Order: sequence, then C-alpha cells, then structure tokens
Amino acid sequence: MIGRGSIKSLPRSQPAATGRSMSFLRLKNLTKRFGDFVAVDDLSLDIEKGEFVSLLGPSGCGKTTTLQMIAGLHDPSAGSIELEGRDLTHVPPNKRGLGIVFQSYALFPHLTAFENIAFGLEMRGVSPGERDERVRRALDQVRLSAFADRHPKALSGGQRQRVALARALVIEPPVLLLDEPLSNLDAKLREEMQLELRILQQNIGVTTILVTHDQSEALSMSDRIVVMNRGKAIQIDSPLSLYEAPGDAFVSGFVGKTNLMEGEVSGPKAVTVNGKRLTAGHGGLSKGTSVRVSLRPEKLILGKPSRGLTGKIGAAVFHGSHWLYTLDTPLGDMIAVTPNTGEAPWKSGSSVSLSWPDGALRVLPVEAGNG
Amino acid sequence: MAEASRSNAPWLLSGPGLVLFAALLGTPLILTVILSFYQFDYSIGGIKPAFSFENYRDVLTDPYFHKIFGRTFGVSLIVTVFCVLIGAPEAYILNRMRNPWKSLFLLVVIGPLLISVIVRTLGWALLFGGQGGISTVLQWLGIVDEPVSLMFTMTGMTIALVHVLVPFMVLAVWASLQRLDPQVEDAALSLGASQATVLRRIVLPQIMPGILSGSLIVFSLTASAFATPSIIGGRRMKVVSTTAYDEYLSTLNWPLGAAIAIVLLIATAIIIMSYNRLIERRYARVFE
Repeated sequence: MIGRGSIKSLPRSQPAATGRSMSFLRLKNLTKRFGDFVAVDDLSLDIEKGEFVSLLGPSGCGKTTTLQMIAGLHDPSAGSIELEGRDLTHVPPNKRGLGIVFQSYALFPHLTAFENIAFGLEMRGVSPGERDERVRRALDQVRLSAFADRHPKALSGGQRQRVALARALVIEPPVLLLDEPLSNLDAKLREEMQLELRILQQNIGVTTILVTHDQSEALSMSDRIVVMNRGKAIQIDSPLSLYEAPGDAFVSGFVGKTNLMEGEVSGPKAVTVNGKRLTAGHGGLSKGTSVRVSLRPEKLILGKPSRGLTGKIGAAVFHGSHWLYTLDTPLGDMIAVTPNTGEAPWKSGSSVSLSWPDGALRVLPVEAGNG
Repeated sequence: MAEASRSNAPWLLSGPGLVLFAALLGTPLILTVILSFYQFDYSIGGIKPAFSFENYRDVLTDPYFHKIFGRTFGVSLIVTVFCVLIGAPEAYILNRMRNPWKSLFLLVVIGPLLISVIVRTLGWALLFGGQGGISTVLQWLGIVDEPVSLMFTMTGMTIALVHVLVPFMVLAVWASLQRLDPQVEDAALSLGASQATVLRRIVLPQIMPGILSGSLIVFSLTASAFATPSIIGGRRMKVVSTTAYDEYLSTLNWPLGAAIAIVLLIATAIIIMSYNRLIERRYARVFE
C-alpha cells in the first residue's frame, strides 16, 4: 500500500468538492453486490460534460456492471448516480434517456436499419416528419444512407455497429454508453471505427463512457481512463499519464507492454535489481523496501556494446513499423521495441548496450496479491 | 471411380431409412388410396374391387360429412388459438425464470407428454361428468343449480385437446425464444419503450415464427386427433378421425372410411402447406 495515495489521482471525487463545481455525471460510492460477490466496490467518479471516459480492466473487473448501473439495467446495492444534479439512482432505464450501444449491438432483427434508428424517436412521440428527417441525418452521419431499408441480417458487422451507434445518438442523449462496442470487429475495422467514433463524439460533443478490456482502444479514444480491477478503480488519469506514470504494477502491466523487474530501494535515488544498482527516483522510500521497477520496451535504447550494461539479442521480430527484440540481460529477460528505420536489424545472438532516458525507470510499490 | 462412389454415398447412407419409410408409411398409405376407390356392397356386406369415385362423391357432397369436416377444422382452429394464447405467454414467463425454477417448470410443462393421452383424457372425463369435479365445484359455488356435464360437448372436447396440445406450443415458442438476444430488450428499454411496448413491438415479432410453427403442429395434431374426441366427444360430437374409425369398424364400409381418411389428409396438407408458404414469404427476409 506504500505510496499509493500520492499516485492515485482522485481529487475530484473527494467530498470537499461536492456542491462547488457541478460535474455533469457523478457516480458516488457506487457499489454492487451479487450475493457475497462484490462486483463494484465503492466507485466514485465525476465526469465533465463532453468528456470521453473509458472504464478499462480485465473481464470480471466490474466495468460492465458499472455501465449497466448507469444505464439503469442493474440497481446499485449502495451509492448514487447523478446527472446534472438530478438523482438517477432509482429511475427506470426507459426514463433515463441515455444512449447505449451494446456489445452484441442488440439491433431489432425484424426492423430495417431505418426503423431501428427511428424506434427511439417514435417512443418519444416525435412527429413522423421530423422523425424521418432526423433518422436520415443520423444515417448520413454514420455513412449508411444507402442501407436504410436493409434488415440487420443483411448488414456487415461494421455496418451493424454503425446502425447501433446511430440508433443511440439520434435521440440526442445526454450521455452515450458504449459497452465494448468494437470487440466483435476484426482488427483493421476496429482501428478505423475507433478513429471514426472519436471524431463523431468530438463533433457532437456528447459525454461518453466506454467500457473496454482493450488498452489500446482506451488509450487512443479517451480523455480519461478509469483502470478497474476487482471492482475497484485503481487509477483515474489521462491516457498519457496513465501510460507514463502507472500507479502500480497492475496498471503498468495492463496498460501497454512493460518490462517489470523485482528490486529494492538502495539509496535516495537508486534501486538495486539483480545486484545492479540503477538510478531511479522513488519518492523517498526507505532503504531496503521491496519495489517493482517498470521500463517500457520502447524506452530501451540499444547500441554498440560498450562499458555499461550489455545484453544479448534473443529473437528479432519484424512488425513493419518497428522491430521487437527479446533480450537476455543482467536484469533478467526483457523486450525492446525500436522503430524500423530501414536498416538491418540487430542479429540474434549479438551483444548490445542497454540504456534509457532519465526518468524512464518507474518505481512501483509491491502489493500483496497483485499480478 | 472415387467420384462415382462419393456421389452414391448420400443414397447409400439414407437408403435404409428410405426403405423403412416406404415399407411402413408408404405401403399402408398406397393401400388405403387403392381401397378408397373400391366399392362396398350393402346387400352382401362385402368389398368389391373397382375403380370408382363414388366414395369421394359421397364424402364431398353429403351434408353429413360437411358438418363433420367443418366441426373438425373448427375445433382445430379454436384449439390452436387457445394454445397460442396460453402457450406463448407461458413459454415467455418460463424463459424469464431463473434456475432451478426454470428447469423445474419446464419439466412440469412437458411432464404430461410422458403420460398416455388416453389416461389424461379419461382424467378429464372424470372431471367433466355430471357427478364430476367441475360440476360439483360449480354447484358448490352456486354458479349452477343442477349438475352440468361437459361430456360430449364442444367445450369439453376443446378444453381436453388444449390441455393435451399446449406443451407443443410451449416448446415451439421456447425454441424461438432461445434465439432472442436479451440485450435487444434492454436496448428497447433504453430507447424509452415501456415494458408492454417491448413485449408487443420487440419480443412478439421475434417469436412469431415460433408461434406460427407451433400453430402448425397443434392444428394438424388436432385435425388428426382420435383418442380425445372419441372419449370426450363420443358418438354425439363426431370428428373426421372418429367417423373414419366408425366406418371401418362399425359399418365395415372400409372403402368409405379410406376415402374419408384420404380427404382429411389432403385437406390438412393443403392448409398446412399454404400456411407454411405464407410464413416463409413473410419471415425469410428477417430470420435465418
């Protein structure tokens, strides 16, 4: 538990802030228990208007349950949900007016794309003329105007996904909830949709909450990411700070690839890993404290062998834009990623020097039970 | 050589089944068709081989038979409607239950199929009689003053047939409910639909194929039902199958009985096939 308070950034959810700045959507001490199992444990989160927030975590971490509580599909066991100061906690889902895109898209199979999108407007009693116009505009927004009369069965995965998105957006919801919306698409389409979704969201300015287990999706789309594990929010931060300054070994391992090494504090600005003394700031931990040291693979600089730390190249794997190397080093096995400059890569078995910029080594607390 | 043996494989594999079907289903059917053209000689009480359409003319022109056929398809229609009204909601509720209740009640619904139709129908006969359970309860409640019997009535026959056939409807609707994505209901709710609207606009259209195929099963099973109409309906409420039975076994006019059976078969086949065409045209676009 050492040093967590300084890393966890939860200032906005402190009770002191209540009443002063009105946040748009506020989750307060949200808890969900299924019998003895605590799915969501005391989650507090304030979301600004227009913000794109991701709930990121492994399966079973409580992210989807959180989303379903916001949607009203699950009743919280404790805590509250407020939208623009209005208490939503016990409002039924059909009175909340939130837009939801489900993992399976949940399109109505017996209705055409047009009728799917029009359904929400019809429920709101929008006049047929206006309904028609708004549906056409929504179809246009997701570039599906040519497919208005198709049934979901006759649409591709990406098209179904966009119909689901248009159906959620056409009702102009205050909050858009996305439950792993891209997980059923293939990799290339997923990347395209990430970009498209982000641009659309910024154009419309709709407050959005995305649930995902895909860290690259969360990093590329969000303003802020909530990393969750075992029902708790481990860290709430911007994608860049989350990546550069992970709060603990779990976040560091879950967000991006990293080289994680066991070590202990051996001086005011030094840690020892496998008997090697390395320079790294650790916020004044006492000497002898066990820590984990994280080094991102792209921060590792490989060079001609010199007097410093040297390692041996294991395998060289080509990824087009970059090379991935496995390394045998005095600190343990590591991976390194270097951009492809068009030159020949390091050969397997050759010795290389290892260095990294100041501050690239992150010292993380060791926590019981965390991976 | 290998090509030829591969193209023969389906025939070889399905051959034994085809032979069995041809022998056990085809032969009696063909014999019945041939028999239906024979003639019955009332003077000697025997059957004369012939090729005459007289039996068919009798069946198709005699008002007596019109009434029986009308009653049969009328009962089939009413029973089908009641099975839809009872079976479809039953399947939906069953599907919303959680285990272990779900498995338990599914067993309760299907359980009656494990008991012989005759036994179940005789059970109803006990309840329907003038001294039976229903009459006693109605008198005790003061709804009626004297014993009422539902034996040999349309009402009694309908109740018993609905009871016998409703599990088939539940199973058909149940099967189509399994293909329903529960998130679709959540999606409709999130778009502002009320629970009732979700049922009517989202769930019902999706389980319609199940309801329609269930109707098909119930309708054809009612049209050809024998045990229940013969016990509850008796001689007073004759349907086509009991009439054919009587022609065979009481009058011994086998050719006429055969003609009645063949007309029933053809009429039911026409109704079912046109109904099926209707369903396919309507739903093929939407569902796999």
